[in-house]
Amino acid sequence: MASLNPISGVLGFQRAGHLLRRATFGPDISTINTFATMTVQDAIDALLQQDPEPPFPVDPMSGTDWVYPNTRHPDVFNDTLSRYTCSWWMENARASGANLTERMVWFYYTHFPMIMSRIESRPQFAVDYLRLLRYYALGNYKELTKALCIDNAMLIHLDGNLNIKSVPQENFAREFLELFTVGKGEEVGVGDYTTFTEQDVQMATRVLTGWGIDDTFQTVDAVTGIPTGKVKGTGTVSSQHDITSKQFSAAFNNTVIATSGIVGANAQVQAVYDELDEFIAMIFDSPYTARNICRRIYREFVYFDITPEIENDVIEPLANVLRANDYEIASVLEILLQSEHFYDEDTVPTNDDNIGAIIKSPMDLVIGTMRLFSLQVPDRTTDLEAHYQLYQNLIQELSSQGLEIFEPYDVAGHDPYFQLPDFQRYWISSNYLANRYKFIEHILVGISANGNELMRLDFVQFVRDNCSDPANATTLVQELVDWLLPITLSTDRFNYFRDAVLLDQLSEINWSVEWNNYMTTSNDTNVRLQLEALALAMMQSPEYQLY
Amino acid sequence: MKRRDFLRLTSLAGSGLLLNLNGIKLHAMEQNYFLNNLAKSSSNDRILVLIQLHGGNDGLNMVIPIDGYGHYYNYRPNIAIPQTGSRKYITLDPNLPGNRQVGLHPDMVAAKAMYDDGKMAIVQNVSYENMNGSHFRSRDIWYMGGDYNEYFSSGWMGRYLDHLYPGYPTGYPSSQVPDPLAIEIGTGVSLAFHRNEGIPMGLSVQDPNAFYNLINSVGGELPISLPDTHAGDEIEYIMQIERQSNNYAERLRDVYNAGTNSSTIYPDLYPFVAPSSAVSNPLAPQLKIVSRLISGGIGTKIFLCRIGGFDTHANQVVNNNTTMGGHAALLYHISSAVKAFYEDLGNLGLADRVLTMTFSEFGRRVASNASYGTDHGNAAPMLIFGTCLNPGVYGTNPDLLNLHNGNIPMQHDYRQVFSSVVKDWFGASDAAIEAVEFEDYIDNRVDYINCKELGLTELFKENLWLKCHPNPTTGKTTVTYFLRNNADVKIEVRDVNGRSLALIQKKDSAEGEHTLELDLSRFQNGMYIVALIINDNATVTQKVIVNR
Repeated sequence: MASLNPISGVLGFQRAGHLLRRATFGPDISTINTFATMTVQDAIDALLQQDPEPPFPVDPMSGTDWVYPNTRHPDVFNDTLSRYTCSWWMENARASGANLTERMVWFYYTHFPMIMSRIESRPQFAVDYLRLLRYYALGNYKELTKALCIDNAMLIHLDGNLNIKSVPQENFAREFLELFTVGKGEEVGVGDYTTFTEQDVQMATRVLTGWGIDDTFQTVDAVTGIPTGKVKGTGTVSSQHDITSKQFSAAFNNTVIATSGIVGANAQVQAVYDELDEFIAMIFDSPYTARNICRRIYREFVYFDITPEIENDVIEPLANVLRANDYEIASVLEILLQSEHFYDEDTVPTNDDNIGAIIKSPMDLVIGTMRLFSLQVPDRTTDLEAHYQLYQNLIQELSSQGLEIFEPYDVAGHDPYFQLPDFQRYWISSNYLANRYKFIEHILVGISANGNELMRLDFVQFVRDNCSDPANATTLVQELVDWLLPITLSTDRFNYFRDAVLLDQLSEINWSVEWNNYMTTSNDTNVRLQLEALALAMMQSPEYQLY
Repeated sequence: MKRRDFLRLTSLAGSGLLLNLNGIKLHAMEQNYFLNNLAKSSSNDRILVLIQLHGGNDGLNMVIPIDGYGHYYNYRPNIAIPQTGSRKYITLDPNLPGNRQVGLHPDMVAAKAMYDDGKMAIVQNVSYENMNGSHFRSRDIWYMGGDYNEYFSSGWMGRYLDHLYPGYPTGYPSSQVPDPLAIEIGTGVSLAFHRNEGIPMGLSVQDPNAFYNLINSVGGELPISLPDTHAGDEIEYIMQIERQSNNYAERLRDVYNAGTNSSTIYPDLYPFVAPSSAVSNPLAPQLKIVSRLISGGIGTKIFLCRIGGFDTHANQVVNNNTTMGGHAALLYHISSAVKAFYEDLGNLGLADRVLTMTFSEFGRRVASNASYGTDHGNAAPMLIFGTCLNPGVYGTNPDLLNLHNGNIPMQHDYRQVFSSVVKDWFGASDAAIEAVEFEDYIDNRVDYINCKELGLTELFKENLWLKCHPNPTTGKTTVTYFLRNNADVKIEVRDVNGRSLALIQKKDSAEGEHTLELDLSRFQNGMYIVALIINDNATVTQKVIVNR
C-alpha cells in the first residue's frame, strides 16, 4: 500500500539527492551535502521558500527591459524579444536556489501551456505570463487559474479576446475544463464527459464573454501587481458580455450563474468580474478539479503511471488536503515530498519503486546538467550578447531533443505531459535520444559562437575539485555514479564504467600513476582522454536520462 | 549506438544471450514462428501514405456543396468560397448527380487534374459516432480505430503491423523484413504506430543520411541487467528505442541513397500572398523522401506525414477576399504536393503500389464566426489518391438544413474508409482484420479501391502471394511466394507489353513458402513483370524495376 506518512530522521545523501532532483532543476554536489544533514521537515521548509523575483530581461539594443513603462526599441524584431524571454526563463531556472519555485513555474507552464508565436507582436505578454506563473508558483492554484482566465497572453492564445456575446468562441472554455481544471472524465453519454458536458463548455464560454487584452498595461491586478486583460467597454459598462443567465449541467449541481449588475442591455464591469469569481468558485467546488491537479502533481514528482492503488492511497487523500486548504498548492507538495511513498519506503522492496523513474525533459537534461556541474555562463549584466548567444544555442539543443520551448505543437502543450499511453516516454524517439546524447558531447567539446567559447564542461577540473580521492579508480567512479545517476548500479554495470571505460582494462595502479603524474606535471592529456570517455559513457546512457 | 554495438547485439541474438540482456522472451522457434505468421497473413508490396491535417480541417471550404450553395453561403458569408469570378470554386465533375455535385477550393487546381486523370476519390462526411470536440481525444480516436468511448493504448496501424510481424522488435530486422515497418516523417512517434505493449512499430525520420550520421555518432554500451523498479522499466524502454535506431539507421541510409527521385519538380512556395507561416509547402519535402525511399526498394508498409495549421478559429481567410489566407495556402500545398508525388512515382514506375489519403481529427462548424474563422465541428471529407482507384465522390453532399448542433452529421464512419485499406489494398486476412478490430466495418466499407488484392487470390483462400526483393534491383532479386496447396508452378519474366522473356519451370511446388533467386542482370534498365503461373490457370504478377 502506498503510504503518505512522513519519513523520519535525517535525509542522508541518497534521499537528499532524490528529493532535490525532483523538487528543483537539479542540485550541485554541495547542495546535496547540505540537505543530506537535514531532517525531511527542515528540507521541505527550505524547498518551500520562494525565490525572489528575478530582474526583467534586457534588450541589448535599448539597454533596458521592455516591460511597461519601458517600451521596446523601435528596431528590434518580435522574435528576437521572444528569444530573449525564453533565455531569461532558462537562466532563471539555471540560477534559481534550492527551492521549488522554478520547478513549479515549469509545471504550471506544462499545465497551462501558451504558444508564444501567437502573441509575438506583444512581447511583454509572455514576460507577464511567466511572472504570473512565478508569482503563484508556491501559492494558490485557484487564484492562479482565475488570473490566467484574464491574462493577456492567454486571452490571445486561446482566442478569449474574440469571445463576444453575439459570437461565442469556445476555444478557451473547452481547454479550461478539459485540461486546466476538472479534466476530461469518461464519456458516459453523448457530450457528457462525467466531469463536465458540452452544455458546460457553452455556458462557461458565455460566462467568459466580453474580455479583451489591455496593451496599454493600465489594468493591473491588485494582488500580483501584474498587468491583466480588461472588460471590453467603457470602463464601467461592458459592451460584449453576455448577460443572459448560464445554466450548468448536473456535473456542477445545475448551478445557474447570472449577471448581477445590468445597465440597459449590458453588464456592469464589476458584474463581469463577479461572474468570473462565481464561476471559479463553482469549478473549484467540483471534487474533480482537485483530483485532476493532484494527478498532474503526481506525474510531475513521482511517476506517470497512476494505478488504482495510487488513485486510492495517494490522489484521493491529497485531493482532500488540497480542498481543505483552499487550493494552496504547498499543502500537497509538503505531504507528497515527505512521504514514505516518495522515498520508496512504503512497503517491502517491490517493483513499484519510483526513484529514478522519471524521464528527464530536455529542459531537465540541459539545465540539470548545467547545475550539476556548476557550469559558468556568460554574465547577464557584463556580457549580455554572449549570454544570449549561449541560450540561443541551448534553445536549439532543446528543439533537437523534441522540446520547442514556448511553442508546443498542440494547444494542449507538450505531448509527454498529456498524451496517453506513454506520457514521458514521448521524449524518447530515435532522433531525440541521439540528440540528448549529442548534447553531452557538445558541452565536453565546448559550445562556441564566432570563435568565443560560451560554455564548457571541464570534466578533469570537475573531478579534481570534487572527488575525494581521484587517484583511486573505485572511489572516483563510485562518487561519480552517486552524483550523476539516480539509481544504484549493478556490479557489472559499475565494473563496466570503471574497468572497461576508465581503466581501459588496465590495472587500478596504472590509473593512480596517471593521475599522480597529472598532479605533479599539470599535463592532463592522459587523464583527460580517460575521464572524458568516462563522462560520455556515463551520460550518453539510458540511466542518465532519468531522475 | 555505434556500429560495433549493433554487431555485438546481433551476434548475441543467435546465442540466446539476448534473453539475459533485456528481458525480452526469445522463442526457440523464432524464425519459423515469424514465417508461419507472415504466411498466415496476407502480404503484398503495397504502401499506404497517410497525410494528417493537424488541427481540424474545414472540409466545407475544401469541398463545396454546389446543390446547397445558398445555405452554405448564408451560414458563412464572411468566409464562403464564391460561385462566380476569377477565384470561384472549381466544379469537380459536371457529370455527377446533383446531390454529389461539389466544387473544389480555387487553389486545388492540381487535385482537379488528379481527379480528371482518374487518380482521386472523395469520401464525404467522415466521422465517428458522438464526435468528441477535443483535438487530442479526437485524434487519438482516429489513430486508435475505436469508438468514441473506447480507450485503446494501441493504434489500428500498430495492431495491423503487430499481427503481420508478431514479436517485434525481437528478431527484426531480418533478411526477409529488413526495413522499419512504418515510418513517420518527423522526429517523434505518435500514437498511430503504438501497439498494445512495447515500443512503437514505427520509426521517425527526417532525412535518412542525417539520421544515420546522428545515430552512429553517439552512445556507448548498454547495461545488461536492470533493477526491478519503474526506473528499470524506463531504462528498458530507452534501450529498445536505441537498439531499434541502430538496427535501421544504416539500412535506411542505404535504401535512401540507392533510391532516386525523377525529374519531377516538387512545389516549394504558395504562389499568392499568405501569412508568412503558410507560404512554404511543408508536405512536398516529406513526400519527396517517401518517394525516394520507395524507389530505393524499401519494404515499409505505412508512411505518416503531417501538415499543421488547420485549427482556424480566426483568420482562416483574409477579410477582403474569402479565397485567400492561410487555409487556401494549405489546400494548395496538399494538392500540389500530392500531384508532384504521383508524377514522380509514375516516372519511377512505382505509382501503382502507393495509396495516399488525407484525414483530420474533425471538420469545422458550418457557421463561421466573426473572426473570419470556424470552430470545431464534426464530419468532413477525406481525399484519396492513387492510380488504381474507383474515382468519384462517395456519399452525398451534407444536408445543410438538417445539422446536428450546427455541425455536419456523419455519413461514413472513419473505419469504413480504413477497412478498405486493410482489406482491399493490403489484402489482409480475416484474422488480421480481427486483430485490427475492424471486422464490424468490413461489410460496409467504402468501395474506392479498384485493384483489389483478393480478386485473384481468393482462388487460394487469399494465401497466394508473390514478392520480389530487392525491388528496384540492380540485377538479382529474390522471388518469394506462398502456396496454400500443392500446385504446378511456372515463373515467367515478361516485358511491359506482355512478351515472354524467360520462363522458369519450378520443381518445388509443395504447399508452403518458396524462394527463387532470379538474375535479371542481362536485361536493360526498365520495368519487367514477374508472373507466377499456377496450374497454367491463375497468374499473380509483380512489377520489377531493373536500375543499374
